[in-house]
Amino acid sequence: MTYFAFSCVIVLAYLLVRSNKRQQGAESELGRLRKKSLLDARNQDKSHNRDLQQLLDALPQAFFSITKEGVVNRINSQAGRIFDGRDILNKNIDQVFLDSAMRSLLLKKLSKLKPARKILRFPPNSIFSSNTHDKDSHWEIEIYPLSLLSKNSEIQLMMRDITASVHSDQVRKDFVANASHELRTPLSVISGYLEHLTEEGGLDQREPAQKMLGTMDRHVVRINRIVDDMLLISKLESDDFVPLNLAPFCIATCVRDVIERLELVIKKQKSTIEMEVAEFQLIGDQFYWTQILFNLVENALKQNPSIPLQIRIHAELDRDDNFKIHIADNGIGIPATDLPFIFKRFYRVEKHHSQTQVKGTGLGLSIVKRAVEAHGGTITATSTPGIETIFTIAIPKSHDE
Amino acid sequence: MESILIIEDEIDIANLVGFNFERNGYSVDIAHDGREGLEKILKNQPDLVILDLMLPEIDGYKILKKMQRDTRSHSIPVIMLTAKSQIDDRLKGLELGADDYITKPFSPKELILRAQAILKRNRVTPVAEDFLLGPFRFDKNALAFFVHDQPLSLSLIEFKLFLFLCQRAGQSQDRNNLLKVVWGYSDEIHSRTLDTHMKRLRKKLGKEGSFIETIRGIGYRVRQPE
Repeated sequence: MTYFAFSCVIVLAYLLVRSNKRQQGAESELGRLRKKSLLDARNQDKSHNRDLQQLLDALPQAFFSITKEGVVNRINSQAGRIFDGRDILNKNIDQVFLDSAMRSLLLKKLSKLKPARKILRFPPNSIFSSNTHDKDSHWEIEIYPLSLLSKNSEIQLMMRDITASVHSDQVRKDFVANASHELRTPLSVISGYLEHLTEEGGLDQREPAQKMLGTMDRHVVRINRIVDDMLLISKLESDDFVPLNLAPFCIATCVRDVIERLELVIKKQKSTIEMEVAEFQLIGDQFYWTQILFNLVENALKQNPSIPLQIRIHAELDRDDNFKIHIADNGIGIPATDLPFIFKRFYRVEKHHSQTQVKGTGLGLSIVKRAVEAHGGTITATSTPGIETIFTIAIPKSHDE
Repeated sequence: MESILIIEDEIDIANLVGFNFERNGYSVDIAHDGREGLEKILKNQPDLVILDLMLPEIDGYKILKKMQRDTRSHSIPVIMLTAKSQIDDRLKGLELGADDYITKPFSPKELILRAQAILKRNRVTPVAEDFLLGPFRFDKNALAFFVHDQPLSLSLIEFKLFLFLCQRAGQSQDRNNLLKVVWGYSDEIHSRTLDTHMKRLRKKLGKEGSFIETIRGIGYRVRQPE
């Protein structure tokens, strides 16, 4: 990429020098070409200039050429876009680049005429911030001095917004850090008891040993789920496009399947599930729908281990074939301050004295959200702690066709 | 019997640690969140606290801070038990007065050994006699320092550092030596927190803080009074 960019710059530089040379020498050339028509020469120059401009506009980067006096004397369309139509041509860089780090970099390179490649970070309110996010934006800055003609020394500046890749890099790093954090707890339990059991006489007393093995087993299951969930979320997040196995399926069957899988927990907690789902067909990926419903119901049960919970699942298909499903419970709920974050990976609502024996993976709700979005739908949550907490999934008709 | 308080929200981890301490002849108490943990520290004053950093209600750092400020708890040693492996987190904990740390997944045996080392160090510390040094007075019965007869509230680590330096007033003590006195061994992470503790100690001495001198490239010294 860099090589490509660099060779582009060399070609551009050459063209630019030629065009500059032409402009400068235009008068004398005209003298020499007195016999030729004036119009002819001008046209040639113009078309040459146009070619160059088209080439520059085709660059993915924003391009600026800056004279040694610090005046911007040529830009491409990307550069124009960054400045949102503001007129920056023939202006001094002091007026154009208001960021001090950027300005000092340019001034330094103007005086030394050395190539440079740097990544600069701009605050959210600066001109270089991409308007899509309120975070800092990151730009790759490349500067190539152009001093093929010593008297016409200038620099060419190219800028590329790399915020998205910097951001996804950070997301990946956070993910790895969080995932390894999640794995450490079950690993501690397993390796801790193993240390004891493998000691001499560690297995002598049958009953405590059995209990330890039971605990270890629970945490092996937990590691398994973390790994499964990690694979699932990375599949759901890998691209903008999630490959779905679209087919007609019965949502009521899906719900029954989930209830059956959670039957033991439901009975143990003396909870009840009320199901108001008609036998209609939906087009979607049944695997993900089962996952969505399972995660939501299990989540509700896990948040309320010590009370008999009432869960209500209600699904409807309106006259325009828009699908909606509510999963409501009367449990401890989600504090308003946590609500905006519950779909974030590894986010956990802090609670006291209400822990299940084994925590979830921290990925359940983000998997739900991603899977719903892959189906073109939305999910929202509302909660009145202690009274009612409702997750609502809505899938508009258009996607189902 | 020495008592251990385990503050850890993961029930299975707490039980695992508790089981190992009990097996080695300690009495064990468990708290599952920060608030309960802090209450038990202040009420029961255990001999050692095993502290998870990421806790519901009050996190481990806040507990460390509160322990330092309270005379009932500032001399209770703490081992941090944490899944965080970032050096910065450990540094922060040590600077806040924790004595040692162990990262998950951990070996219970190693945890017990470290706990034993800390408890042993604590038992043998008060061998000093009463003394006067310039504006400072040490009272071995109260196990406390006084500046111009005002009592000083020092954390356990500050106390150990100051006692060690006062007993060797006028002599420079190198960093490794100081680290060994306070933590029993010296490693890079502990070393980086030494300066923070010295800075805090100096501040607590107020205008007499200048008695503690930094010896560049070596360590620290308490100046002999004229």
